[in-house]
Amino acid sequence: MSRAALLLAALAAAALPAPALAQKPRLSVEQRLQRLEDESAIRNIFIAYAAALDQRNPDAYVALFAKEGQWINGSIVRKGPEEIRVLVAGMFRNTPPGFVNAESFELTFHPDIKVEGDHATARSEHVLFRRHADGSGMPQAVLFGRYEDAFIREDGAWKILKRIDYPTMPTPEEWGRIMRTRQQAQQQAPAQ
Amino acid sequence: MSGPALSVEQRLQRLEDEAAIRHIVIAYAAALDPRDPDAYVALFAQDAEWVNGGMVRKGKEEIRALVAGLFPTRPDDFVNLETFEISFHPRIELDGDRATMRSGHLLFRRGPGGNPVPVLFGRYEDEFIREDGAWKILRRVDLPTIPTAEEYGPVIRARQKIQEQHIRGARS
Repeated sequence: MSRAALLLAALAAAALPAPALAQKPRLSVEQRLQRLEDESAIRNIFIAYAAALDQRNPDAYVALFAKEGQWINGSIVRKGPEEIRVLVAGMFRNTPPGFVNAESFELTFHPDIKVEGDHATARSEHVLFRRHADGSGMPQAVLFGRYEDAFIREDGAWKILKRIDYPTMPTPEEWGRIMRTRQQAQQQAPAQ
Repeated sequence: MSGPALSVEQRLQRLEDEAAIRHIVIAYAAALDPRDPDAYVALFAQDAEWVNGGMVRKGKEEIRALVAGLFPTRPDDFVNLETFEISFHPRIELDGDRATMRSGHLLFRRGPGGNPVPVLFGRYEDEFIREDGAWKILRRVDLPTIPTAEEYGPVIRARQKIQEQHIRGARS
C-alpha cells in the first residue's frame, strides 16, 4: 500500500467515532424491543418467585420452572417439576386457604440479566427476613444469598431452567444448622 | 402538560438508556461485593468525581486509590462473607448524553451468628455521561443518612486514614 493510501486509510479510521470501530452489529428496532421485553419478563420471574414463596404457593412456585428445571442448593439437587414440587410442599406444608404470611418475606435485588436468543442467565442477590427472634414483631434479616440462574424460553414463555442458591451470610454450614433446628421444631409441632 | 411526541426510535433509546444506567447500579454493587477495584473504576468516566462529605476524589486514579484502600488484599477466589449493599429506587432523569439519578442504598454487615445486620442507609446523587457510547458515572455523591454523617464519622475517619496512604502512593 502506498504512503498516500496508508494516510487515507488512517484518516478514514480517525474519522470514525471510537465506538463504531468496536461496535456490535446494529440491532433492528424489533430486536432491541425484544431484548427489553425479554429482560422485563425475566425480572418478572424474580417478582413471581418471591410472591410464590411469600404466599407459600407450591403451584405458583413450580409453574416458574421449565420442564427440565433444576433447583440446587449445595448438595441438594432437585430435577424436574415433580421433585421441585415435593421440595416446596415440604417447606409449605400446613398452609391454610387465604394464608397471609406474617412470618417471613424475601427481598430479591440487583438482577444482572444476559439474554442470548431463547436462553438467558442472571445473577442476583436476596435477603430473607423473618419475624424477629426477640419477640418484638419487627422484621429481622436472617439470610443473605446469591442466585445464579439459567432461563429458557419454553412454549413462548421464559422459565427457570436452573436455579443455584448460594447462602452467603450465614454460610451454608451455619445455615444448615439453623435449618435442621427449624425442621426438628416443625416436625414436633402438631399439624394445623 | 405533555412534551413533544417522541418517535419510536427516541422512545426505545430512552428505555435503553434507562436500562443501561440501572445496570450501572447493579454493576456497582457487583464490584463492591467481590471488592474488585478494576470493575469499580471501570464504571466511572475519565473526569469522574466521587464525593462523600469532605472527601472528594477526582479522576480514575484517585478513585482507584480510594477503593484500593477499601479493598486492601483480595485473593483470587475471594467470596465476601462480611458485607453487601442493596441499592434501590433509582429515579433517573435523562437529558441527551447526560443523566442524573437519585437512589437509596442499605449496607449490611455480618452480625453475631452470621445474620446480616443493616448498618448504614444512605442516598446517592449521581450524574452520568455517555462517553465513547457507554454510560459512565460522572459524579457520585454519597450521603450517609442513618446513621448521619456525623454519627458515621468515626468509622469513616478510621477508613480514611488508610485511604489517604493509598492516595499519597498514587500521586507520588
